[in-house]
Amino acid sequence: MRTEYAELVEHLMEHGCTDGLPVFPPLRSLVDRMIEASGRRGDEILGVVPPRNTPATVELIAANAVMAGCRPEYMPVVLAAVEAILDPAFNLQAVACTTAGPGLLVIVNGPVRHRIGINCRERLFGPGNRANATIGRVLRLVLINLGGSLETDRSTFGHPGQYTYCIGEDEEGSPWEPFHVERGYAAEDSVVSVMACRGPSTVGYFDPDGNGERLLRAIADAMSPVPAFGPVGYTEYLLLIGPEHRALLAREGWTKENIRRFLQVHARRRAADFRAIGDNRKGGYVLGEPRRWVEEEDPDDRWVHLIRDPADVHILSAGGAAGAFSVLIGVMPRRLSAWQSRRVQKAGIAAPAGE
Amino acid sequence: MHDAISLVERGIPAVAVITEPFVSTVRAIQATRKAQEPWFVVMPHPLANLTPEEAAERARRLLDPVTERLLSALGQVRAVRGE
Repeated sequence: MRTEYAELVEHLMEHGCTDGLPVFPPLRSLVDRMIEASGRRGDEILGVVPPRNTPATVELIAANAVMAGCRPEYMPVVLAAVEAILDPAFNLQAVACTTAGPGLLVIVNGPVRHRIGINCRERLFGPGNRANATIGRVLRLVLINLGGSLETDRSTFGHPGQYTYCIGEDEEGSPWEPFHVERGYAAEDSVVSVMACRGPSTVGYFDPDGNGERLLRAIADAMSPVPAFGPVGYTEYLLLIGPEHRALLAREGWTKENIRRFLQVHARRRAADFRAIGDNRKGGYVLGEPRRWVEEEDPDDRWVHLIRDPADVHILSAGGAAGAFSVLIGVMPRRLSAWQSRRVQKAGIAAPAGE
Repeated sequence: MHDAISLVERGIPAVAVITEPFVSTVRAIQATRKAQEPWFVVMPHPLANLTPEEAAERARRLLDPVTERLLSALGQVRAVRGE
């Protein structure tokens, strides 16, 4: 029996049904348990998965959830995440094929975090937590097995978050309104949000005499490398503020809105910085709108603002208690891939905000 | 690519314009859709950093191959309709 099981795993790996790591064979009994836990019909279609455009039934998602190693109680979260990426505004076809190689970052809010053990603190992006590891992994397996993405993904590099990329917000440790409440949901709702994201990069700020403004200047500086702002124009950012930085900001009464506004004003570079790099800053399009970061007549010391709108900075409280770190993640701008949130429902449908 | 195939299937001549690194991507989509003809025209990569003038020049160079593909798609559509 053990040998047969290993052979099944090998069979799946040989047939390109995995992300390169072993998967659980989706045995009928395991898939059925997963469907049952979803409270939905196995033949219900959630949408089609590009580029192969395979109809995503609850049953097929359940099979991929088994393969990823999910527990059945994760299914409502998995389905909400799959519905989020299948929304046409998420533009999964582009996300799955583009050279930029984004990962599908799943953000979980609300009481479901505690029910299924979503990690919001230490080792947030690291290994060791089953719910985070396997829920993030299902989305990639769905892209591979239903979308056929291994044939069509033209990521120049991709990043490790393409294996799995799932986090929760530390709502209990946050001085601010949770991420989902800002988006119109009730605090007691469980909500899954998905964004097409680059890899996480750490911002350290340790100054013992520091203050909130200096910390935010450090973060704004990390948001402003000229080469990050290529010809496709403005980007968006997800900022995960760690507990030490949160405590500093909360002590001075910074709100999320004030933080966003400050960062939008201070994420900037001089025209001379663009000129020094030159090359593809010469022009370009933002989906049909010709634009330039720097015009020929601009003086060298003119500030160029790199965030179009404070709403393009998304803020989340997360991370382990010790360490003066926050994390910045580049998010695909919404004109290319609009992030989506879905309410997690135990035995019903995942409803978009406001419904 | 999906759009071009869908349009041709609906009797509307169409052609997808792609950059070179995406040839294998569109071939995979074409195989999935069981599309017989290569309903696409290839141009060099990258595209996103062209100036408006360079983009216009790129469009001029694509005019002939795109026209040729569209006429071929029209022939296909007529053949299917029995015209």
